[in-house]
Parts: sequence; C-alpha cells; structure tokens
Amino acid sequence: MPKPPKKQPNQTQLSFNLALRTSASDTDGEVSLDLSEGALLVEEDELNESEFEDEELDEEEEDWGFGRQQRYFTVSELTQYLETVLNEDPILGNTLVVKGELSNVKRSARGHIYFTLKDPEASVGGIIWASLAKRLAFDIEDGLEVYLTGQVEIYAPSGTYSIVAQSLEPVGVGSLQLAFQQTKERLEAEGLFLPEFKKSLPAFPERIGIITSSTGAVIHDMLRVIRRKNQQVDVLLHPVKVQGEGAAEEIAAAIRELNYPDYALDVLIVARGGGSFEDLFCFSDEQVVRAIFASDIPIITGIGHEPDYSLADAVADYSASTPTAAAEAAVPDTVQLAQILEGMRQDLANGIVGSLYFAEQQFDRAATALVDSFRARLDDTGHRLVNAQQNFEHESTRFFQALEQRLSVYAAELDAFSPLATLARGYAIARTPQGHVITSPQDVTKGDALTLILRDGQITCEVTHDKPC
Amino acid sequence: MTNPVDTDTSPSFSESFTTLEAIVSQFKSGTPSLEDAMVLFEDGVRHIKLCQAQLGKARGRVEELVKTLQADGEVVTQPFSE
Repeated sequence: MPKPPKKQPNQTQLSFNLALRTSASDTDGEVSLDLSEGALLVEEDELNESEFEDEELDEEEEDWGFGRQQRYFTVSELTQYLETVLNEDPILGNTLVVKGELSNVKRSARGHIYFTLKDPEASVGGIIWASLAKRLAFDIEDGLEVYLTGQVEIYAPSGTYSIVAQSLEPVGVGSLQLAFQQTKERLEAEGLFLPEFKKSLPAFPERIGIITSSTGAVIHDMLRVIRRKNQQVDVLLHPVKVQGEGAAEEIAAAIRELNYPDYALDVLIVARGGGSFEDLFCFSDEQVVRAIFASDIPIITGIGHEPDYSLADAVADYSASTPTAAAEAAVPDTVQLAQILEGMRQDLANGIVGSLYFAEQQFDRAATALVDSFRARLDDTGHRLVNAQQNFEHESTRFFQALEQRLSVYAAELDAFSPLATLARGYAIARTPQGHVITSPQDVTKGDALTLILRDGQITCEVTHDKPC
Repeated sequence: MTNPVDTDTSPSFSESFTTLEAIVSQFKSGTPSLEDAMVLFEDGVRHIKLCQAQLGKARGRVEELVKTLQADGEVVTQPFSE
C-alpha cells in the first residue's frame, strides 16, 4: 500500500485516536477524555513523528474486542460527538477571546460578514451575523487585527469549525478611534474635506440656525455671545440629542431640515459642549459629515473644546474651537459694522471731493492751455502783420522809387521831342477846339474857331478867309 | 418673518456692503471721471442708507423648532427664552 500524503494520515490518526478513546470510555460508562491543553494542542512535529502504519492499525483494530459494527462512527456521530465535547469544554464551551488578523472578508447579501482570522501559523473561519455587523462602529476589513469575542461552533455539512463573533475590538486602538480613522480616510478620499468645497460665511446674516441641545448652558452661552455683538439677528434653534444612540441621525436630519428655504437661514451652527471622545463621536458619524457637506447653507461647527476634533469640524465651512467661538464667528459686530460704514461714507465723500477737485484741476489746465494756445496764435498773427507791413512798406518804396526813376528818364526823352522849343522861337500851333492840329488850309472853313498855341499861352481866333491864298 | 427692509426689491446687507466696498475701492484705486464719480457716489450713498437701515433694525427673535404631536409631526416654532 503506497504511503499517503504526509498530512492526511495525521488527521486520520487524530480522529481515529479520538474514536478509540471514546470507545474505551463508553465501556466504563463514563466520559473521561483528557481535554486539557496538552491533549488538544497536538504539535505538528508530534504528528509527524507518529507515523501512520498499517500494521499498528491492524493491531489496534484487533485489540478493540468489539463487533465490527461497533468499531466506527458515522460522520454525523463523530461531528455530533465533537459538538458535545466542545460544548462541555470549560474553555471552548463558553465565549472566548481570540486575537488574529482578519482576511478574506466577504459580505453576504443579507449583511452577514464571513472572514478568516489568522496568525502566521494558523487560521480559522469566522462569522459576524448581520445583527452585530450593523452595530459595529468601525469597518471590518482585511488586514485589521482584532480581539474577537465569540464561540467556537462546528458546521457539520462541511466538517469545519469556525468562530461566531459576539463582539469585536480592534487591537491597539479603540473601536471608535478606528471608526473615526476609517471614516476620515474614506471621506477624505472622496474629497469631502477639500478647501474648494468650503462656502464663505455671510458678512451679515439676518437669520441663523443653531443645532444643539436645548438644555444645558451651551445654547444660552451662545445666545449671549450673539446678542452682545448683534441685536438684530433672528435665531432658530433646532434641538437635537448631542450624544449617544440616535444622536447622529437627529443631527443629520436637523441639518437637512434647516436647509429648507422656508426657514430662510443664512448660516447654521452645529454645536456641543465638551465631552469624551465617545460623547463627541456622533459628530464624526458619516451621515452627519455627509449632511454638512450637502448643506446649501454655510455651516459653522463648535464641538467640544480645543483640542477636540470631529469629522464635522473637518467638513464644516468654518470650524470654531468651542460653541461660543462658533457663535462669535457667525455674527458680525453691528457697532463695528456701523463704524466701517461710517468709514466708507467718509471714503465716498473724499472720493467725490477728490473727483471734483481733479475735474476742476483738469478744467483749469484745459482752460489755461486753450488761452495759451489762443494767445500764441494771436501773437503769431501779429508778427505776421508786422512783417507784412514792413514788407509792404519796403516793397512800395522800392516800387515808387523805381517808378520815379523811370519817369525822369521818360521826361528827359520827352523833352527832346517837345514842340515847346520851336514855339519859343515864335512859331505857333493851330488846333481846332477838338484838339486836331491844323496843317493845311483845307482843314478849315470860314468861321471856324482856332486855338493858337504860343510859347507862353494860347489865343482863340476865327477863320476869316477860307480859300488858300 | 417680518423684515422692515423689503428683501424682494432691496439688496441684502451683504450685497450692499460688497457693492459699497467695490465702490470705495474704485475711488481709492484711481480718480474716476466726474461723470463716473457722480454715479458711483449716488450709488454708494444709497447702499450706505440700506446698510444703516439694516443695522437699525429691531431686536431679532429667538425661536425653537418643535414637532407637534399631530399627524406628520408638523414642525412649528415657539419662542425660546434667551
């Protein structure tokens, strides 16, 4: 018979040995199984050492001394027996705590979570029923190291055992801290905390909504701070539970409610006084964070006291360190605003005066420039006039001088041809009254008047004989 | 919600305030022409008056939301003592 694979015979031997012992004790009418730690924890080495041999088996089979029909269990009997043993075990029969790392985490459609709990040497299957899964603050994910409180159960159809969880605590951190971290990482990856999504707060809110507890000092402290700075603002309080079961749902619902346009709110404050991490945890709940992110109205948070930090603070449009600091941030100081307005009124007045002055200066400059340019043009015309006059005088003098000169030349020339010299010698020129010079008796008839031009005068006479002599 | 300033036609305080700041900064950043300056000035004075009217409003109310026990848990408000 060939040797079977190494592990298989060992397992068979274990079962076989168990069956042996059971049979033995049955004969005595009592169960005396040794279920102490040493007996249960069979080391691997030990398993390897106890080699599986056909001969030994045969011998033991023979040693039983029972009828063949009594020398085996049915699988169901075996499993049933194992269950009995398990339930009666002082350790395994009760809830126990197992530390290990989660892997192969799978969720069923009904919300149950199946996983493997492992350490470097071993692994065991586990189940978290949906009822528990819903209550867990943190996410069950691969790689998470946990203390799992639960009970070992055997699943007969597959012959396996697993641990059914009753509670789960992460190793190293509290479950709420882990839940905080996981929610933070998840929402951060979605970009919910990015600064570009933050809305700016209104400069002058006329109506503000406050989501907090209506009892206790916090709301009254906030109202006092608001009224100290601002008498005009309307306040609408939405009372909510601020810790414990159902608080997150109430806070998220209040944020959505106050977003209805009918309330006409300009800004919301989500606030709570100081408390433990657990007390404040509802403000890190995913639904609160998402409600704040989805709000159309800017939200200011004032949760706990510095250095308390919630995810609501991370997602809020403005996060104040305390509720009163949130109230302080929500409303402007009206006295201060009035001063700022007065300042702006002054600036406006200065501005308009400045513009007027500037305009006046511009006008002055323009007017001066205009006059200057006119004057310059006038001056220019004057200069040209003077020049023209001078030119005229000069040219006209020149002209007349030239004319005079020419006249005297003409006069001299004329003088040479003058009949006056002839007249001086006793001659006369006879002319008709019309000025025609008479050069022949034919030119006149009897009775015609004649003018005789002599050297120094003229004589008017009459023709008495009209025939040539 | 009674409001002495008709919010339907008048700008809100914030709007007026922002406009005012813009007008003032225009005056401060340079000297606008007289025509522009007159328009800006008149606009500015109007917004200052609007803002001052808001600041002079009566004391605001403090109310608390309460869910009635009637059907639908209708939400109503009641005065909340400061």
